Amino acid sequence: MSPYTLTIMIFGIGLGTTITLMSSHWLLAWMGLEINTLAMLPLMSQHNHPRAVQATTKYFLTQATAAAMLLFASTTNAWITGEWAIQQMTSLIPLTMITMPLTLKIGLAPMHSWLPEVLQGLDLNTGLIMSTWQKLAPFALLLQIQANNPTLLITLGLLSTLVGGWGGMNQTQLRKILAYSSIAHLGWMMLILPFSPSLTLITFITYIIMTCSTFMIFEINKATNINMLATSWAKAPTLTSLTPLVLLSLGGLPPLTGFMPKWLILQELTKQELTTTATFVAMTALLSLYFYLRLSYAMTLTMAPNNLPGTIPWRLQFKSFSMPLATTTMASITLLPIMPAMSTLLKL
Amino acid sequence: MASAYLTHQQKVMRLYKKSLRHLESWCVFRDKYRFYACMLRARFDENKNEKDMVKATKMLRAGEEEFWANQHPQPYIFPDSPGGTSYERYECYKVPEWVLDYWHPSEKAMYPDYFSKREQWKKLRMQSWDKEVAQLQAETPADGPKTEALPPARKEGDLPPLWWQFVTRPRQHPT
Amino acid sequence: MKLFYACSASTCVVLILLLLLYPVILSFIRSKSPKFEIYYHSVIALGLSFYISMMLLLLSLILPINMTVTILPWTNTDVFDMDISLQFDLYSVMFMPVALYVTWQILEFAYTYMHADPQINRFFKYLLIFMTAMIIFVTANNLLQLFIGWEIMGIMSFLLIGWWHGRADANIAALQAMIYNRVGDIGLIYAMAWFAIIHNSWDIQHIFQLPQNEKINLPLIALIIAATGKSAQFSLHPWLPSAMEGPTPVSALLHSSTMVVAGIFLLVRMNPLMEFNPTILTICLCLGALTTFFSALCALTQNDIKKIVAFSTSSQLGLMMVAIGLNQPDLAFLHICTHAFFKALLFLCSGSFIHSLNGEQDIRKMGGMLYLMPITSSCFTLSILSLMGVPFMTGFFSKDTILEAMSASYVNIWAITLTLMATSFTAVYSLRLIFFVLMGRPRTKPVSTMNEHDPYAIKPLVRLAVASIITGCLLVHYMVPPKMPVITMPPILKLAALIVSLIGFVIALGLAFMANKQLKPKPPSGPHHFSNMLGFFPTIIHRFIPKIILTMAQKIASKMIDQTWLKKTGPKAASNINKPLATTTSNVQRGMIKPYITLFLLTLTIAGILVYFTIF
Repeated sequence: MSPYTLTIMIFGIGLGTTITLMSSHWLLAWMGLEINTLAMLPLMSQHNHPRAVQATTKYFLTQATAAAMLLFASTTNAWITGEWAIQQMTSLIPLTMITMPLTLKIGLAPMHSWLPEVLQGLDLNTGLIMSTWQKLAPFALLLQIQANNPTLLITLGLLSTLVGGWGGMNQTQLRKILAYSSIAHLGWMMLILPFSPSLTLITFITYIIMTCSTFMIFEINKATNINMLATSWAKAPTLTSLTPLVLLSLGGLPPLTGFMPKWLILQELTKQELTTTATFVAMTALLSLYFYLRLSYAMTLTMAPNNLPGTIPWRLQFKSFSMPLATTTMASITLLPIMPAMSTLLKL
Repeated sequence: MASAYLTHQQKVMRLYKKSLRHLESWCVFRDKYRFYACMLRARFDENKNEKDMVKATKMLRAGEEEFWANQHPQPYIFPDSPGGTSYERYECYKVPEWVLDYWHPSEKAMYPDYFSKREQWKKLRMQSWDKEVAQLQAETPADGPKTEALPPARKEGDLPPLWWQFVTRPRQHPT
Repeated sequence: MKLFYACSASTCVVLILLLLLYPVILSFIRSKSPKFEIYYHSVIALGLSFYISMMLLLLSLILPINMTVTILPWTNTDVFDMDISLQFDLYSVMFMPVALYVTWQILEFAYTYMHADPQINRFFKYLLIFMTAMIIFVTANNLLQLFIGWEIMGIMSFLLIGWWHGRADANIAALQAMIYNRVGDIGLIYAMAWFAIIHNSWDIQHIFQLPQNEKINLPLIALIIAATGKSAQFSLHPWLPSAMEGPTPVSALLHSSTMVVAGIFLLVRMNPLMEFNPTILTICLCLGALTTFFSALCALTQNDIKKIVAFSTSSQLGLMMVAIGLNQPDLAFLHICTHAFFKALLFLCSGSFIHSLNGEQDIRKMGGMLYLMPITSSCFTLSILSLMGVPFMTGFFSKDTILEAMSASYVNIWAITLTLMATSFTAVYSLRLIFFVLMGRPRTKPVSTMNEHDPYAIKPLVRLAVASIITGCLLVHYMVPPKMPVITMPPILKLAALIVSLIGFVIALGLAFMANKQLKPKPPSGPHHFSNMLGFFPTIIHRFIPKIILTMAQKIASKMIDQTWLKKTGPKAASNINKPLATTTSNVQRGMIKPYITLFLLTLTIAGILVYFTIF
């Protein structure tokens, strides 16, 4: 792909999301989403590989379905209430009809099925964009609509955490595992959305930080499945010893950043007297923890045998630009102490 | 027990010896013991020519059962035998004799008398080995040895067979 | 006057302790001491200590004062004061010379018995440390001091039983002694904790002022358990016969004359607490009677000379317990003192026989020792006569008094019967010992090198033999039993002890002559095996109960917890539940776009319908 085109496409991705974020009118929001999708498609298929093309096609079809439904729902809303503003959704049926395409766009269960397939077809950098930036626009819309039907969101959230855990268990492909991890995290966000949107935001931000560092770690190790992780100790030993912490942070173990959103969400759910839900969702976190632990085990806790040349890459100069990796890794391990500041700053 | 690997004869002989030992534990006085030992011997002798193996095995079994029923709960054990009251009493004397071969020369130099004598013993043992073996073979009956014990030295001035075991046996007790 | 007595008494005790510890300290200072140096020093130290303790005894004869002397404050806190204080009463002042005299003789004898041992210096050091602990225990006026003495005695007993640590049996016996004694220690610690919590004091004199009510039963039972462990009373007795694995001087000193009476001594000390408590006294009485009967029964058929003597010790300890149960602590104490002499003598004579026979301990292989070792045999006979309670020997004065007190009291007839039977059994096994060891023809190995030329071996025997004849008379004159009511009783009761002993003796004699005839190769098995195998008690306690515990542990720990809980219902169940669900979730991903979109539309429809019906 020529650099000019690439620039334009990346610009398009940014522009689409920005338009959606700025809009208060459904048509404009839909437009931003469409721009974003259309700009993403060439990026996804930049490597002319059947898998990438297949992933692009799937992405296009699902996003188009979602966009069509969004347009249909907003039109219905305008028809019923005569109102195009995003924050003025009063009628319940269009609200439900709008929630669904948005959840399809970020990949919540049971509309999640496209996400692992699509992510598996992409290289890790594009995958990183796909699982972070691309969620931003629909997520912002979800935050804005007055979701006064918590049952729907809680059901979707619980289903997502379950599916995220169970789906990831059976996988050896890292990108699919990350896709399921994304599903599980989005489930947590949906769960708390009706009660405390600012918590959803905190969860989203920490999720982005942790996912970024994970994707970048896998990128550096050139790893796409679990077996390939086993030689990472020879490539970047320090990083290898830090990776379990990042992974367990994704899993949400106490002294790490990933514990913060889970802690706050569980506390908030308990406050809303949803103790059963809180217990259940905490148990489903164990399912996800299982595959994070498995990754840590394969990567760090065991030292796979290797041939002699395979053991020396750590002596070579480290080429890639490691500043973002360093920042996100440290952030995803050590942010827990600033929890009060975060929850104050991100109050919506 | 290794009884599965023993011949019938060995089993009978072991039963006889065991019975004698336990009889000795029951009969404290020597005259009584002698009398009952003779009785026991007579019972064994009575069937010593039994040719029918089925019958012999049954008799052996009956004998074993009788022994089991009549054994002494505290049979007499020699103090030095396993289970006896002074068995392995002194730990420092438990070390076998061949360990001395592995002493460092500097250690050996600390006991010059003993080790020079020991060298002589070893030399004598090497010299007399053939003679000892010949004597043993001469004194062993043609149809194999009757007991496990070595024959005593019968000729005037002879040392007992494999005499060095007595000379160089490690001490069990301090003297 | 009191001050003079207090000063001289505490000086005596401190001097004795210093003297006893001097050879031990000497061995620390001098890196390499000559082979028998510690031996000579310890014999001298013990002799001197004996004379010093005799001075103390004479002093207390002139000034019969019970007093406690506080030497030094130990830990003084606001709520709990503890002082190092010594008690000088009848018991401590009298027990010290007895114990020191016996120890002195035994140590002197040990030279002959142990002279070839490579670690002989350490052996005497152990004995001295043990004796020091005994003095600390006897003179303690503070439960902690008492406990220290008690524990050191336990540890020294462990070390000395396991003296021949090359032997597996010796190690087992040492462990057994340790474990059974620990059970007793639990009792003592419990009692100490109770006194500390409830009464806030460990001072024995303070404890005696406790109100006598129901509550005090708990610590008293704990104290009885302590005495049961230390003094080898029934149910905690198997360690005492096993302890005969130790060298004979150790058996003589620790496991017959001094250490094992510590439990009884504890109860004697604590008697003011249980004086008016019939429950506790009955427990003591029954326990003692059972012990004395059972041990005498076991002694009947043993073949190991040391085992027989050990069981007779156990039996005599039971008799002391009976005296405690009769509320006659003075008599129990008297028996402790007299018993020390003749039991030590009995053991030393056995040791002499064993040594002369090159380690042979089985009485079936002895016989005719009367002709071979006349002096030792005479001493042996003397001690046995004393043990049987033949009139005007030492044992008579205490044993006969206890039995008399018992038959004169209106306590448990069952206990009385058991004790009387045990007394007659004493005569039986004593005669058996004499018959097999001394009389008849030798059944030893043909070559006999025994002689009685060694003065170190003979002098202690003779000294102890003299003591076994006269001390009973002396002690009984010194100790006027204050609790003994002056009573009259029919001659049959007065002579009961002698009569049962005589009956036992006559029966045993008859049995002995029958044994000479021996019409059958072996006696009827049932009763013989019961007695010979120690009533199957060790078999049951040491095999059956651990087996049950281990089986249960296997079932509960291994099968139930490990396999069922930690495996089947834990990880296995989790994986079994989650596996099919994970598979189902993965099976949705088949790479087909149509089901994905259908899934979306389906969800949308269902959600729409649900919302629609919720509204209307």
